[in-house]
Amino acid sequence: MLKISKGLHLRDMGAKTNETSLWREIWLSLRKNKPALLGLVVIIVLVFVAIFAPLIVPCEEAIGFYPKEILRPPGAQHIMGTDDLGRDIFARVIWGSRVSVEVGILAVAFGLVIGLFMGALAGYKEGLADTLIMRAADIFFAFPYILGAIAVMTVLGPGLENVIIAIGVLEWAYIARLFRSSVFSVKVNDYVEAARAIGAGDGRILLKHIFPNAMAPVIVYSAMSVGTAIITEAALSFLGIGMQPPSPSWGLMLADSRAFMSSAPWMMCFPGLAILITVLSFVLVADALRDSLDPKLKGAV
Amino acid sequence: MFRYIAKRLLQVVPVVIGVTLIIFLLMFILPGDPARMLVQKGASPEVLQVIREKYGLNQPWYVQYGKYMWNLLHGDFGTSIRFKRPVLDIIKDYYPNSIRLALVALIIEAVAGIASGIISAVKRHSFLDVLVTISTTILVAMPVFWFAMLLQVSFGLKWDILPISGMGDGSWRYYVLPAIALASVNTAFTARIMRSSMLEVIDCNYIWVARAKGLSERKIILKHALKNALIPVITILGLDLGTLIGSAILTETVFSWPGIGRVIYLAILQRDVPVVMGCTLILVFIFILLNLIVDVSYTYLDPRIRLGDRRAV
Amino acid sequence: MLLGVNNLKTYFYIECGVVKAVDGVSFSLDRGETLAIVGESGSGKSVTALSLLNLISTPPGKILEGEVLLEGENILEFSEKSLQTIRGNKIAMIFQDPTTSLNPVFTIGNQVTETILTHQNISKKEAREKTVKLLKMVGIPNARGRLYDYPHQFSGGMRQRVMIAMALSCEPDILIADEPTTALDVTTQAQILELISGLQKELNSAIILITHDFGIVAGLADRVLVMYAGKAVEYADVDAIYYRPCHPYTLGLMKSVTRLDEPRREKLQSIKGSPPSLIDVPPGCSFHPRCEFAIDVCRKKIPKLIEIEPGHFSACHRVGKGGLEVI
Repeated sequence: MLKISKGLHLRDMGAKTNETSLWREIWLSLRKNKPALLGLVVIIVLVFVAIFAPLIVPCEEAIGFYPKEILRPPGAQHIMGTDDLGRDIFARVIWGSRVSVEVGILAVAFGLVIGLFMGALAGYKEGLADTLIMRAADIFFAFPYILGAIAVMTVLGPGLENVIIAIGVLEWAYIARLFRSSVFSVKVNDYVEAARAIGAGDGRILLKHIFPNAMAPVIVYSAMSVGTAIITEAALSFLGIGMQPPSPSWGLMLADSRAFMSSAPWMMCFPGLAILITVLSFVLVADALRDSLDPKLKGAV
Repeated sequence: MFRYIAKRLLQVVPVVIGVTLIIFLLMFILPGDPARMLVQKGASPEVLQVIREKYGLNQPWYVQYGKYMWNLLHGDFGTSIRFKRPVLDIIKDYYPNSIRLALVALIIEAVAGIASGIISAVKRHSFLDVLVTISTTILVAMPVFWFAMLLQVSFGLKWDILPISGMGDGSWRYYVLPAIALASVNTAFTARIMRSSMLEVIDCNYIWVARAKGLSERKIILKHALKNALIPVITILGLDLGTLIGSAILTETVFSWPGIGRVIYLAILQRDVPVVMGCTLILVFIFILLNLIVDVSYTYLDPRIRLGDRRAV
Repeated sequence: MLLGVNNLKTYFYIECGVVKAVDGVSFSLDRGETLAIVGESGSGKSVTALSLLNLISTPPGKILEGEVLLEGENILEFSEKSLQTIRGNKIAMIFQDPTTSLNPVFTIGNQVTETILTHQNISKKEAREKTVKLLKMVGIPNARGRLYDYPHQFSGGMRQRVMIAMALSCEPDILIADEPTTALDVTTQAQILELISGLQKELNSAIILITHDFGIVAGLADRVLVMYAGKAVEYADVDAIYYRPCHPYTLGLMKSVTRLDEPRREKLQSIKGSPPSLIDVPPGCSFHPRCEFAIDVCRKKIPKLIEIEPGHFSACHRVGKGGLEVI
């Protein structure tokens, strides 16, 4: 009745429903959403920059020591200035993208592999497997995220691989919980029953019927958590237990810049902006995905 | 009501056992010998041995764990290996700082988040809505430590109107910047959730009924819509207080705030098991307590929800 | 004349086009009279009702033209503030779904009292006493005791009674009842309808009853307006509609109802097809794709609402002075 005032039902009446695949739907919604499209472009540029960093600026400029070039403000020679060791900030920001992209993508991929497997197992099998997996996940929710990451990093020690593992180890629990409830709601559908009735095995049902239909919330979450992972890496490096000097991590650069906040503010400006723009791109894409795939999650996650 | 609360509090026991066990095991698999951290480099094995015996570090983990739990039962949180002080004293010294900062941050979060969420939902698609949407999206993507540094540079160094480090004499001026930094991301999330919750509610039939009753738009929003829209937001706020206390470590680092996050962080790095244990346990208690408060406050906000005991409410 | 509606047009502008939810509807109403607006869902009945209160959310909706004259004054030109003094006071409304129409987090006493306090200058205590009286009047047992109960503690029928109490709290001149019984079971339906017509006699209000069910029209209505795809297709006294229906659509609706005065009929019929999308209304007479009497002119020309006998209007090309030609 009153729904008419929203125009929603009317649109349903007018529009023809045609079958669209998940990825097509995602593309269609991204295409209409300008901020998300911009985010996508930034992400693609970022990945290219990370891959072709050596072609843009030589590595030495990012990690060497140039006593004559110390703390130069941004100018013609160093467009973003230099830091306290005379290293070119622009070079470090470019090379730093490698760290962020690697951590962001690999850590979430790692979390996805474990999380999807565990979530599917818990949601599909229920019973003991469900209880065990979910209680194990509960442990990860009991601690604040950053303290958990710190604890895992102290066990593993610093370094790129360990940052990836630490974030992945924390992420799996969130992904598993999300995927589990999604599997729960999908598997009661008639088409799953129908597949079972014609004799499809568990593996086939999971891969052909449940996975594609239960993925939506996980896709949204993953886009968001690539951003979270990049911030977490920066935070760990900032605290001194993530990437180690002279690695050009954006978080490390911010830690270095603290001593020069008033004398060389460009040292903190550019790496911070780099993190902000990168994470913002992922947030924009995640927002657009959520709006199109999972309207119920609006505002949440 | 009291039976319900008692039942909920009893559920703390297994959680405490689980949490302590995990921390204990985690600290045992950590590389590094706590005894070695207490002495200077090159100390003789005899000295190390004495220290291990003094702190019971040479016993198997389950004996140490049993002893720890026995003492905990008697209200003894043990002694810090690093600071050689009772852990309870450390807790008393640092937790109030963290809780006070978190409360100020929570007030900022609640007021700014709820207000901007309401405005942006009610004035949908307006300039203000766009402004709120853009700024919350940026804040969500902002690394909190960078935001904290920007606050320091602008308010502290450039305009020199607020202190940027430590607690000083404990006046409110020292709280402003750390609390804003700490609240930033949460405020953005609260505003977004408030907005979508409000948007959902103002499309409900009872809002149209209220309009048809001839109520003013102001009363409809502030009475009929707000109380319904607040229900999901209250959960977030309640649980956020725990996060604000426990994950303030980055803000504490930037502002040299003597809070518990930094204490736990240093204790982890220095393998100071009793401190990690004690402080984390308090944190877990706070989390559980907040959960309980949120659940009880629900029954006041949403009459459809009843606690375990019906008669009591 | 208490209420006069002239050429009301309410359109919604949405992504995929313009929805002409109400497209030039006119009718009038006197004190003590009951008008039934009948049609399938999506025919624009509810939007008509909301337009009378100027309760169309803009955007996407807009009352494009027409007037709603309440005692001679066009309320569509009123300021929001003066509209608020009319809503719930002079024109009150009962909504379709009692389960979602009451605010779940306030007591029913609060919600009824609130209406009274908004429009009348009396003390809280007096308002509460009046609420108890109203709740008794609509037949809620132990009214005083239930003042502090929440909506979820009431059954659907009881909630609709609360809604009626709320709507009648300021003795409105006009009561709009939008499918007041659709969400209720049959026994409760009868009770609620009886309650509404009983209270109407007591208060001498005018009632606009919106329904898709011709079965409940006969006992209650004085006049009937049949709507299809946003347009009025037939408008007449209730007897004329029942005994001399002059539009194929009205005829179709009547055939889909069991009638007591025709004890034997092979089977209940329903109209073929479904109402058109309001974005993509068929050209000519919008009913022609479903009409068994449709001829060429029906596909090309929009029929005008013409008076075929005094007070009996119909919009159909196949209708002459003597009624529907084909029958």
